[in-house]
Amino acid sequence: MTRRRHFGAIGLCALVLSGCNLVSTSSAPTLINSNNVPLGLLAPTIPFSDFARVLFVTRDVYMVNKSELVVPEPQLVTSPPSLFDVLYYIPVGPTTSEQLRGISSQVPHSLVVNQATIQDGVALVDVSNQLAQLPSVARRVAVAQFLFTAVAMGASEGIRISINQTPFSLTLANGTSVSLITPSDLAYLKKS
Amino acid sequence: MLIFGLGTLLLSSLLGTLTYFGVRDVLITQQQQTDLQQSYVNAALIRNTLYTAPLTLTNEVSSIQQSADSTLLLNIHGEWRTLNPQMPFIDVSAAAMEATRHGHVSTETRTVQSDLVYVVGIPMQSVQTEIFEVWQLDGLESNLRTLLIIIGSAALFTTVLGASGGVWVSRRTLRPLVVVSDAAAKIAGGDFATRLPTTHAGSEVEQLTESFNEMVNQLVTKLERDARFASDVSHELRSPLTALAMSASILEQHREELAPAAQESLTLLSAEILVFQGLIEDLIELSRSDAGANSLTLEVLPIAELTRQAVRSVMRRQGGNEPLVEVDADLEEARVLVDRRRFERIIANLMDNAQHYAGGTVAVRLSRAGTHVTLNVDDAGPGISEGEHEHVFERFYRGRAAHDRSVVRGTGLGLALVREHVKSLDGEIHATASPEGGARFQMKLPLVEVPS
Repeated sequence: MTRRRHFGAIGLCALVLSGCNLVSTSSAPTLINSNNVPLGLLAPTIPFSDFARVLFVTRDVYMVNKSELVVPEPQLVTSPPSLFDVLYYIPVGPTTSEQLRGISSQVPHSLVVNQATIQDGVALVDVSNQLAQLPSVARRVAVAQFLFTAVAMGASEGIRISINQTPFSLTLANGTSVSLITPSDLAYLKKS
Repeated sequence: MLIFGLGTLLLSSLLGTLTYFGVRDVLITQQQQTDLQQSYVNAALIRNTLYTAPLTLTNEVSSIQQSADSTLLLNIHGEWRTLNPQMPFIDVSAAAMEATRHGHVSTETRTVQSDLVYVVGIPMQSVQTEIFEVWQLDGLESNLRTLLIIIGSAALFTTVLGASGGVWVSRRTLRPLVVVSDAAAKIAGGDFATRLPTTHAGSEVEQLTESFNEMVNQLVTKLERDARFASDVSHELRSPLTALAMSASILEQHREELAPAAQESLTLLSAEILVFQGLIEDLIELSRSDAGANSLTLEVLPIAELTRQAVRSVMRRQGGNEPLVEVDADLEEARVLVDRRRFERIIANLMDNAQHYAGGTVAVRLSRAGTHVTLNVDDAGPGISEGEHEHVFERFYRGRAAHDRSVVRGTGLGLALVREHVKSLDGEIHATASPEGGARFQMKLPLVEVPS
């Protein structure tokens, strides 16, 4: 009887142990002493740089809402932000949370922004060929995304686009073709 | 076997437990240290990417996740980013987020949806980013479970092996003692020819064997010497006693001529001579039995008829009413292999014993007990107390009844002779209580199958 009880107890222990985690979990996080953190990760500036820090600022990048109007979506960019950095996010497209809100982009992911600067209030942007391949309506919306994002960055006079260094002219809805696209040209595509 | 088994189980369990916890600690510590160090490196890569080429951050995160087999969760300037939108933020506890927000590197082991994870949180003030790297520990858990099973199985195997080995060793060690015990039992049963076989199991065992055999030799020599002495004394006493008996017999023939006091002395003398003659005869017979000099003349005889003849013979000598002889119907033709003289001596001694101490035999009963016949000699006397049942067969044992002055004094050897004779016939005898309230002497003899 006693022997049977012993074997029963061993079996019960084995059963209990089999259901347990063999690696114990922690009830609270363990804090590592800052002296033991390598690679200067906790330093206020980046090691081996000239006391550099990377700061982030929020800038508006224009995407397309459900009504096919371009709307500003705030995007984190490193400071100081350049037009090139901000326009980079247009072909990247909306974030997951933006997509959940119905935000999209008419600019294909494959489009590459080769160059982007602002001169005398005009944004000079060179992109890859995918823009020319878009249907005319979609092309106007895509150009509107670039235009109003550039305006938000200070290109108040408008945008001049080239495709692989070849000047590009946009045919507006009224049939006229323009190389310098101003905010008023596509104001109807922007959500007021 | 149980002690060996439990001992081995205890040792193997202790060893297994220590091994398991030792290995477990090493594995967990190593795994977590490796993950932590890798997280530091990955955090540095993210920092460099944010500093030098922030637009390639997504590619860098993807590359890290693929190579490190972990999941990264970034909080850049308050905005959470991950490549795995399905990854719930619950993988990181609020306490860990709080600690990291306050500039501490934190680690924690958590169970998230039955997955065991190790989370490292690293704040990087220089790039306004907090990075949380989530490492899966399921592989480690699986390895530990396998290790536990292996160690448990090994402990079980060791226990069985240890118990078996222990039993084998103990049996091997105790075997000589078992042989000694068997030999001692045979010698106690009267087989004085028994000796231990000489073995080469070890010097201690050889020494034990020699000592034991020497002890038995000495014992047998002493017993033989004692028996010879008793036999010699008996023989030496027999001649003068015979002369004494003859003288007493002559005196008996002239009893009428003696004075009354002399007649009374003659009566006492004759009675004592008879007792003394009986004692001498019994002593001689016992001595011969001890020396193994009593020859057996074995015959196959019908037990019922043999018993009736023996009882009649005794009663002719004792006088009085013949006791009841009850024989089971199926025993009328049953036969036993006996020495007639010894059988008659057994019956005579038992009935004499009943005559001396219980007023005579009331019944002699024969019944079958399997392959044996049981012969009960019952009396209606005071019986034999429980504690004396075995002692009454000892030589010169004087029981409670023998101290009664009214009983006729016996030799004190009658029942001892009975036991010797019964033993020589491959039988056994016990004293117990009879249904009549007196004593019962129960003898068992093997039956002989006679082809019909």
